Amino acid sequence: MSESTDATDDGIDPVTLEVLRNQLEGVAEEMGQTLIRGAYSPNIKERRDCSTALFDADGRMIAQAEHIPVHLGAMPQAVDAVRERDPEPGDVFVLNDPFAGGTHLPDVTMVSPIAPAAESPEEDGLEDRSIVGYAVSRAHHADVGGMVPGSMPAGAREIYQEGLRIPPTRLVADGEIREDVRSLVLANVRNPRERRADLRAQLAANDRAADRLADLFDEHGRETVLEGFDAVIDYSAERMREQVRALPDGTYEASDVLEGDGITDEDVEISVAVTVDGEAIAVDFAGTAAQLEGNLNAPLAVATSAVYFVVRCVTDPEIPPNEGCYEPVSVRAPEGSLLNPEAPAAVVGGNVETSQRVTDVVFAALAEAAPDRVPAGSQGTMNNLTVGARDGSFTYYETIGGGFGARAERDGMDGVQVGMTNTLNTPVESIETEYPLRVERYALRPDSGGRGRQRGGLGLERALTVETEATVSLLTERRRHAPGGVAGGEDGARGENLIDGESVPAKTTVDVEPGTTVTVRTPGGGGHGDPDERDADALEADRADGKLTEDGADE
Amino acid sequence: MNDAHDTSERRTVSANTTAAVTDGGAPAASSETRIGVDVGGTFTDVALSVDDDLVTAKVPTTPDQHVGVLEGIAKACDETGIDPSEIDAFAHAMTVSVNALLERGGAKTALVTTAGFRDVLEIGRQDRPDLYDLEAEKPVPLVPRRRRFEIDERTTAEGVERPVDPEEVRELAATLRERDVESVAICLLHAYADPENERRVAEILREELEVPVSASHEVLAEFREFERTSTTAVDAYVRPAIDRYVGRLVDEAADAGIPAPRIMQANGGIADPETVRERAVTTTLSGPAAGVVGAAATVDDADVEGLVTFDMGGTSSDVSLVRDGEAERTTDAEIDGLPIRTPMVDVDTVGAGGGSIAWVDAGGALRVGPRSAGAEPGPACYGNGGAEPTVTDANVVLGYIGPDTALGGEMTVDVDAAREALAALADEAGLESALEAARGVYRVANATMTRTIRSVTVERGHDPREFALVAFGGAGPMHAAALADSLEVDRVVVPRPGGVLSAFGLLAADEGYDAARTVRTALDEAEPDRLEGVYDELVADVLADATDPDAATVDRAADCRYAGQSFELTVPVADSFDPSAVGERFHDAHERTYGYRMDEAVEVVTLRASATVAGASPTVRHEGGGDPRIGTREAHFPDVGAAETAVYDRDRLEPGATVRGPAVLEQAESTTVVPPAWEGDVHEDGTLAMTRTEADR
Repeated sequence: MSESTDATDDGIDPVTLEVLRNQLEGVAEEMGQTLIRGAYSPNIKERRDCSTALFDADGRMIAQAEHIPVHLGAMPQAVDAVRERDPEPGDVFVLNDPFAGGTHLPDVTMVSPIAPAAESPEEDGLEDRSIVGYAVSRAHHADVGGMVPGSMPAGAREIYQEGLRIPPTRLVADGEIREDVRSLVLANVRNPRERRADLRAQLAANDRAADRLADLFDEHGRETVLEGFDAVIDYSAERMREQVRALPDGTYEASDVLEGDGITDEDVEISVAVTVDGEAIAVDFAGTAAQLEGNLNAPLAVATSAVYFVVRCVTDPEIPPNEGCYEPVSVRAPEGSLLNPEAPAAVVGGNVETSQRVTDVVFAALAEAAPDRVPAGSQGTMNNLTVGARDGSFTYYETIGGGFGARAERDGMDGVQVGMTNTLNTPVESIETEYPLRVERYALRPDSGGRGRQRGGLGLERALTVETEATVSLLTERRRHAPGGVAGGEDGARGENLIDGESVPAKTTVDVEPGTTVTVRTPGGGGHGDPDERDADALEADRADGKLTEDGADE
Repeated sequence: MNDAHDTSERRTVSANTTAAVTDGGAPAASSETRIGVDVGGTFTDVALSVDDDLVTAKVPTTPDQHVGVLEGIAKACDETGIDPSEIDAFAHAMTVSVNALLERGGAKTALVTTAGFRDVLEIGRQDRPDLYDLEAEKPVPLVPRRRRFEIDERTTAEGVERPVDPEEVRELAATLRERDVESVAICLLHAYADPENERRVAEILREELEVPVSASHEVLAEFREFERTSTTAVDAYVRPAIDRYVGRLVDEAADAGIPAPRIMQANGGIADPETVRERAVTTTLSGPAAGVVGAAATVDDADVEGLVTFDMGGTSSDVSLVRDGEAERTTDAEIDGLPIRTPMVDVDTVGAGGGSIAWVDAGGALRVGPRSAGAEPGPACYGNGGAEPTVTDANVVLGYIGPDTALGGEMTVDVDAAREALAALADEAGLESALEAARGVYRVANATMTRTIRSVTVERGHDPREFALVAFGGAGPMHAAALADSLEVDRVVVPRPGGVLSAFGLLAADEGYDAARTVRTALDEAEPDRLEGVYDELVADVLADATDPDAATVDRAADCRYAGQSFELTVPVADSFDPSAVGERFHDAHERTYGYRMDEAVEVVTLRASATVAGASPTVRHEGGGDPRIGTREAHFPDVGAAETAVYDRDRLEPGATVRGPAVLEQAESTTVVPPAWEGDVHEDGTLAMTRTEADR
């Protein structure tokens, strides 16, 4: 029952476009809600480390409900990998292989071809079902096997140590679950019952997309909806091109380093050249270090996600994320490099720390093109802290917020997650009840924000006492190289890791005795503008609040 | 706002029949004279139940809200011909606390925490408010760092480890006095488990200081230190303002011979003024809660899964769910980024209302909102100089609002101005005509609202098709049937007092109190005696607040989860705590909510008790009478196009009447559209129950 308003020459009119855009985004959202409700893994349920999306028959993303940025650019590769394997209606593919459509192993993706029955049921009997699109769900499972529970081993040097690697495989064929495939997967993971629940939730999410799309076909007619696919992609592309046109043409370069790969302490370079040319942005990571022995390698999908994240931030975040939104953006990285590694590189840390540095360098490059829009450097790390009992009784993992870079007209936010992550902390009252751990202190770090006309955000101090024999593992960055200030602003404070008051390196794994206190001081954000121009009231407020102390030392 | 306007706003629905209500679900009437007054942003609404009549009135909201409240009461009494002293009961919802939060205009509050943790309030959960917005700001903490103080003490989940030094607290009291603080919040780590240290600090500060002191174990005895600190800080922050406001209103009511106001809480229950002065945090967002209560009270949900309430106002629309006659509640609410974990009626807001402005964006899509024309200048059809096309203007061009339709009573409808605004939009969007643009605005606004309603129901595990849609607010009934079509909902209910449903809800609300405490224990290790002891204290606590404890119904519940999860589900608990029954109920609830159960250990996290004293349901008798037919005009409907449409005066429609679409029903506060494939039945209480006449839409 299509509306009489579909009248303009270009196909879809502005009204139908907006209605369909809402409805298609609604489909992706409902998939996400279905997934989150049905999932077991805390990563999915509470941290919403999952994404859902709808693709067209050509593998172009139409709508996405992403809850964390690292999935932004990583879904299309998964669909491409499936499309190379002749999907049929009734199939559902599962995959997590970073070298075939995945990012890191805990992120398990499911891709379902969608093929609603043909429009005229009177012609039934014929299998006139063609694939009109794909439903895709991706979720961070709590465990996918490998050398440690949680499948994020700090010491991995090959992907084989990181867990079960699944190339695109039919989990469902002709509408039936392939028990042999499912039992193969479940036999390789810890707590298979929970994984079964997570997989079932992903299947339910994909099924929801098929149902809702069939509803939309009923409502608008198949042709209108398929035209709508093109229209929403063109719509985002048009809005993004308008934004890119507003950036000055030129090639903007930046480079930065990771502070070692966990095996050596050597700085690892990440270089980027961002070329704005009319309506296109080309991002090239030529000059970036070769792939590493440790696990900080990041598949190209991760770097792509980081680039998309920065582009969204610097342009208009309201542009609906789909193929069109990223059409003007291209990303390249040399093969065999840190950002485009070859199998069997270990990659599990790439999502966590490398992705942060990629956002830093791309922001830094674009700062030249859009100086008012790009903040000074943020903490640039997730401050990963893992405490594992030596008797194997528990593993506790957390990431810790820090300073956000100062903005042209605003101070940086104090004590927040930055860049590619935005996960919640674990309440002190939960940690102390559930683990033999004591939180001694959780506080803003005075004087850690880079001075400037606008001050960088403050880092945090988190001190934990371990009350049992345990192994403490720190995977952190910005302990040697501080987050940068801009436009005359000063750098933020470097982070610092202490064990019983003694400074330890950015990446440390050490056995500790009961009563040992681990203190993590996270980096502050860089300042923006000349510190002498800082507003007197703002300065006074910072002093009154003890965010700034006279002598610059901790109060 | 002139007198003529105010008079025209007043509605009387009188009846002298005592026949049973067929749809209202309202039990036997009380002969009490009762008044409900709801303060909103622009208007203060009054619902007066006297004898068998319901009288409603609207007056402008005043900056000192009690002034408008008393004016509204006087007006309603005046119209009814009774003296205010004849009022037997007075229920009230206001925006004093939510305004204090939104404007950061509350008290100069101090916060006292465990050493090492004074920044918990500011760090929050360390997430940033928006993933992609580089200019985002965290919510400004209610208590700045300079007024956050630490004391040297420590409690763990097992109990006090380092007791409080009273001398240190007295020194702190001196500092707080010096700083002229106006209220104090105390939140010490693990005070939910063992409040001894916190209680000691509160005692000393209450001895030493004249200002209100809110202690976290009294406000919210639940674990998770940030949320408890935030809730306690909100309580302390709004408490002086609530205390002043309620105190003054009590005095002025007494002067006028009116009983003391009982105050609506965000949990959907009303409470005595003394109670809310002690526990101010419960008064946030009480108006929207009253509206949902009003919807639940007018609509019988026996033959549907539940109700979706849809309140469409000028700048936004509110959506919530009612199940088994009860508004769904949440303990996960936020106001302006500040978590408030006391139970609240769960209301979702979408930024589309009658005043939302339609525009064409850079990608060529026709968008509606989030900008709104507000009350000034308002939509173009108000004729107050507004030129931008709004949803209301589209409704004018579509014929849903006619040249003589009352729009808030005071203005006539400028049809030409509406058409002009839509014609300009049509030009910009490349549409043929103002009419095409109006159809487009209507469709887009509906698509936005449909998305929210779907999201609210699906997210909570429901299928919207199983629900009935209850539409109110000025514009709600104009869009409801079209929304129902796209949601595949078969039934739409438009309550009679839809323009003042929150005030009406105040008349219908029960008295309600909640208490909770985190106990955290594995279910198979739970000691029923200990838990019963906690329940005894919680029940004593809620009954102490009840005006008539003998008449109170007490409910007990427990928040449970599978070990290792960190979100809980609330399940009812019978009179004696039976671990296996609680476990079974939890498994069932988990399966219902999330679609599966697990063979895992169950943890009891928080125990809850609530006390309810049923209120007397207001009588609404509707008689109608006179010729309801105003005339006909051309109106335009999706999928149908132009149709000659009957226009009725809703107040004149008699019970038992059936209105076949296409029709428009006008009344002072709102307009109802019955599309061609729909019909509406008028019930005894004036409720309009609409159903789709064709299975296929």
